[in-house]
Amino acid sequence: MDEEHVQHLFDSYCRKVLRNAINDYYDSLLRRRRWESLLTDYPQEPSAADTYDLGDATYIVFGEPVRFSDPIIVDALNSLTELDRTIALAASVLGFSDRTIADRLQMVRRTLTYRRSKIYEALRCYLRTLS
Amino acid sequence: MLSTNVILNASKGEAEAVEQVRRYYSRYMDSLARRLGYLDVEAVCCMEARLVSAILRFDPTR
Repeated sequence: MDEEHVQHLFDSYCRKVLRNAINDYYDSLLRRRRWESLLTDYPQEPSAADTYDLGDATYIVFGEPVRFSDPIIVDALNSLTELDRTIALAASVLGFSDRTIADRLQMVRRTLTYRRSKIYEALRCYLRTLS
Repeated sequence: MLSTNVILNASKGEAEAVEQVRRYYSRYMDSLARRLGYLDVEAVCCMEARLVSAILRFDPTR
């Protein structure tokens, strides 16, 4: 096989491969555009808005993350002990009953109810002094 | 046009020869990628990857 033939064969082979590659690439772009849309096309959607966690606090309550962005609430929650915060958030945010919280923390239910009311009272006092 | 030596060495996977082939076709790849009106870098990367695998599969006797 002469050299020139190999050169032409290789050249046409490479050009064909590259043309196929670019066609496949554009096909994939078109396919993607048919099924996907950009978040920037929906600026009004709340899920498309950027959020920044400057001063935010995330607490893990029974394995669930609970996030607060209000600095006053964060301050108030940080003034509590970890156990008290868990009780307050489990009851008020996660909506757990006193019985469930007591079982999870291995406490007596009535003790927990009493403690929860004390925590709420402490939070109220703290927030009142801040405002 | 690329010399036969370069083509054969590239098909054997010699890095320098493969790079020479890639450079030789880079302008052609750019012109194909400009089809949308701008140079799409991702498209060039796709073509480069496809080109390299094609070079390694090239058999002049077939």
